[in-house]
Amino acid sequence: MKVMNAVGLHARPAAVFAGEAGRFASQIRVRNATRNSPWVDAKSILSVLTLGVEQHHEIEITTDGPDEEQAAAELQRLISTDFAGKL
Amino acid sequence: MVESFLHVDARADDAPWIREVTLTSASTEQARPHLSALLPIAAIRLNVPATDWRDAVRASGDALVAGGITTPAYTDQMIAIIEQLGPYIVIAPGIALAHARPSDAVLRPGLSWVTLAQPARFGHKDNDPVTLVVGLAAPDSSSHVQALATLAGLLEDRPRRETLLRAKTPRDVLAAIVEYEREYAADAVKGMP
Repeated sequence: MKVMNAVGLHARPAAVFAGEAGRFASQIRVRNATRNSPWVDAKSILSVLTLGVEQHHEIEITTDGPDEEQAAAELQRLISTDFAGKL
Repeated sequence: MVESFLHVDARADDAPWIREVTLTSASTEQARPHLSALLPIAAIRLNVPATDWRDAVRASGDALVAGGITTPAYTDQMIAIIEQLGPYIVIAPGIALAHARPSDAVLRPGLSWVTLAQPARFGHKDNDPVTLVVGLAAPDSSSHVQALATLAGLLEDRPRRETLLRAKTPRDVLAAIVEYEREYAADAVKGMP
């Protein structure tokens, strides 16, 4: 299942990523740093998909709210572990 | 406020086709493919009767085949993904994005557009029932991600989406998409320094 993550944030990883972001109360925004894209709502699958994040692209996440530390840590872990078997 | 940089990466030994992906991503800064070029009129079908999600996905696959985008094997692959991973393909209220991994069954990158005569349940807890099934096929991961990005931008635009869903003929669907692209291009020019 690591294979799908190897190609970037296409439909399945975007759905998992947005779902994970949606578990937190904080406002979470994400952008494609490689593309210098605008910031979008990390909790919306469609918004995450608009970023066109491919393999080797760098993405940037910002969290703001009551559980911001935890949200940042969890999302970072999700991606750095190739979605921790959730794909 | 917490900010972090992440790097989406993969190990070459997990993905033997990584060489191809790396080569194509060298050209990622090129313009995204126009949706209208990805969606042949033969791949647009409106008010298709479908009794369940399988029927709906099959209609979307049939439209891809009619548009010369995939072989029928791709349709089976799209259904298998949902059987395996569940209804995550329902990416927004009423909208399913049928797709499978890049494979030999993909002849060229493209989309199909199928609206259903009756809404179909895919088993998604928030976004059911589905009235629009967009089929997506791409021969490699890079063009897959870019086609998705363009499509997501269109579907995210609510008034545009509603216009598209009200379209009475395939020609009307294409006309609305072309208009979106024109405005998008105009905005991009305005946004330049």
